[in-house]
Amino acid sequence: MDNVIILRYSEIHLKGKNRAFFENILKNNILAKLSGIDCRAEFSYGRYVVCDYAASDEAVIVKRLKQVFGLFSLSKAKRTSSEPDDIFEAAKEICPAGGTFRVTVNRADKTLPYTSVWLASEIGGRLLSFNAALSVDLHDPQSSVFIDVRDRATAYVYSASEPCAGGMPVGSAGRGLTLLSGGIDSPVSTYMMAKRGLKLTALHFWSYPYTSMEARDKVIELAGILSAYTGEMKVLVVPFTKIQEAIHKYAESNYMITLVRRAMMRIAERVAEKYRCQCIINGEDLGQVASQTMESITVTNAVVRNLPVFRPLIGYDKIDIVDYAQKIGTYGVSIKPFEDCCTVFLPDSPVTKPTLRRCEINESKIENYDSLIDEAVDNLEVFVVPGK
Amino acid sequence: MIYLDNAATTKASQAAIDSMIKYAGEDFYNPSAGYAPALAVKKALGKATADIAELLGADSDEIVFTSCATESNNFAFECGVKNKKGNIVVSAGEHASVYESALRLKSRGADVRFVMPDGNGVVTAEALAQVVDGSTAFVSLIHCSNETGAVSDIKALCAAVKSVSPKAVFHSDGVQAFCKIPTDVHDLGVDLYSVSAHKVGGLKGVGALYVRKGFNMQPFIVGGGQQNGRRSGTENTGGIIGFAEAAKIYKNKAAAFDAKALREAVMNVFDGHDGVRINGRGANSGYILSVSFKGLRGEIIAHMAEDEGVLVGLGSACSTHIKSNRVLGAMGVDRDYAEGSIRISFSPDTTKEEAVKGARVILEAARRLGDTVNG
Repeated sequence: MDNVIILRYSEIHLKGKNRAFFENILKNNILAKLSGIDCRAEFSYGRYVVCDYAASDEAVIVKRLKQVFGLFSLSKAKRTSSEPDDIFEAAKEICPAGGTFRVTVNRADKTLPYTSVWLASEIGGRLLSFNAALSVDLHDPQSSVFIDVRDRATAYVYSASEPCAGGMPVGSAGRGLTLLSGGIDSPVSTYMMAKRGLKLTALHFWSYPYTSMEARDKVIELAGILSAYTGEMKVLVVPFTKIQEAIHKYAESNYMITLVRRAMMRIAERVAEKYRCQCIINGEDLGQVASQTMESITVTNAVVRNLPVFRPLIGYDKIDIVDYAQKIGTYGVSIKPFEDCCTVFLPDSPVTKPTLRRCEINESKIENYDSLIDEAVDNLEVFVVPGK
Repeated sequence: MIYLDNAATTKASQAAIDSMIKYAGEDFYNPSAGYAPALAVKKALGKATADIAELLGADSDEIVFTSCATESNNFAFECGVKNKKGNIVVSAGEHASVYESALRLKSRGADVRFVMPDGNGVVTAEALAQVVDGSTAFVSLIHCSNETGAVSDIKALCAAVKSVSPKAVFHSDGVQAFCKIPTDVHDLGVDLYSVSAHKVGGLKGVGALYVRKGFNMQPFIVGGGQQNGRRSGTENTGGIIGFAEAAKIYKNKAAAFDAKALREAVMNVFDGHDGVRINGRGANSGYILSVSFKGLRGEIIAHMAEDEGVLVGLGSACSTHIKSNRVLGAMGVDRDYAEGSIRISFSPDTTKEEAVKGARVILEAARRLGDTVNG
């Protein structure tokens, strides 16, 4: 009898002929996640098992596997032969100390000399004799003992399943460019799109000396937290100061934020194409701030010509985004007091209903606008955040 | 690189570094142990205690070493308030470790009163008299402001408090005063006085609290009973011995250093420019100069100066340092100026040439920022 971890994947089982494509990516992601730990992964049709690990490594293996998108749940199990005596020995170890229980058997190998019902009854009976504090409740048990008999040599015995991250394997949906600020929202939108299978590259706009070194380091730190889910992630830091100064100098002050965001989206599309990203992701949430009204989103979206812009948080309440950020572990870093945008550039009353025409008029006043965009793209710094 | 942020920390003296290496290396012994090598360490510790006491005008048994001045200040507030029903008086221009300690007492129900410094950052006897009364139990006033360098007359203020409330305990945060201006604690008449090592060439992780002889103070940290039971925890031998060595060196250098003349020279760089304000033109140690630029952000100016090779501190800045606004705000500095503050601070090693050059870089950075922000 040995300890194993059974893995179950999520939506992949809905796939048809391209199922192997998703499975292969998931397998590679699992192996990458377990690198550095002495263990083995077995991949058979519809069932993945991690085995041959030291008991002391089990907790860290489970923790890591729960960060792999594409896995639905896992169970810490005992692996034995199909012999009822062996199965009972395993069941003894995982059965609860008391209360009601039931035994559920799945028997894949129909050539075995017993039925599922017989095995459930046999093991249940032996457990009742073994522990007088147990009683059977088939309909609403406090705990269950699951027995999955695969073949004559192999049966898995486990008590519970633990939820994993769900979603689709990272890399199975292509590559996206996520706009990552130091705030609460964009790390959540990054997480959500990685969960849908995107391999991500992050883009950060840095306005030193108007913001600090710490503001940039904070974004790298956020990427480090997210990398537990996304795997290795490049963080591209764009020097944004000159553009911000130029907009401040030439444009109407109440259009400052709108024009800054249009410049960001222009740069994002250029960078996305350069880094072969197929979409842009941002953390916009309808109505949250002046720059996220329908009209503001319309005029910022208008500068993106060829790529889709995904806004996974568009319908979320702020409180739900905060909950999400806390769950994925980015919230504590996001609330560190290093701002992305210095208040010297913030207008007293930013426009909430900007028009495309006024945006274009303002931008036409900015000297060397296109070359400033080129310069920002050409001078970005690349930080590689390794996968955790 | 021109370093003008000595109020934040000073470069450690070689003597302090050597002490740390010596007492972490060959003389690593625990001074509380009974064998000969440990006794030698204990003796060196005793000598360092005597040296620090001498620099403070105190006796050896009046010195308690701590991990930092923040601990010293917390120690004073947690264990120095004898009359729990009396009122507590602090200035609104205190260092955060004193200010927050006072707020904590307030949250526990204490009557905490704040005395406002004048426009130069100095606490005057007149202002103090408005809040001190016969029920005052504890007073804490900073000797030399960490924001502006303003020096309050602690001797006179202490005497004034004791004349109104003889049993009141008087504490002063002397971190920015120690080794720079006279800090003879017996002469000042204070009961408690906090100092720090790394502001005078020592290493970070060492502070001290002067506790007047005869003032019965319970320990803040209990345990193995080190330092005669007044502060448990194995002593930071290398740090403490290095503190004493560094402080002696610093004080000797300070005696030959005309900080006020240097400050004056730097002030001259800023004087006469529109939208530039010197925060504190009264009594001053000479080691700190707070300058504000109207409508600008100190943080940005500091970043721009850093790009030109000049390192300065922030009097206040964007939200990161919003608490710093409190001190300048208490002095009556408008928010428009307070948010654009820079703290320039010197050590006896600072040359006039580099200080003036640094000031010019800051002024130019502020001018450029002003041009950008204001069009």
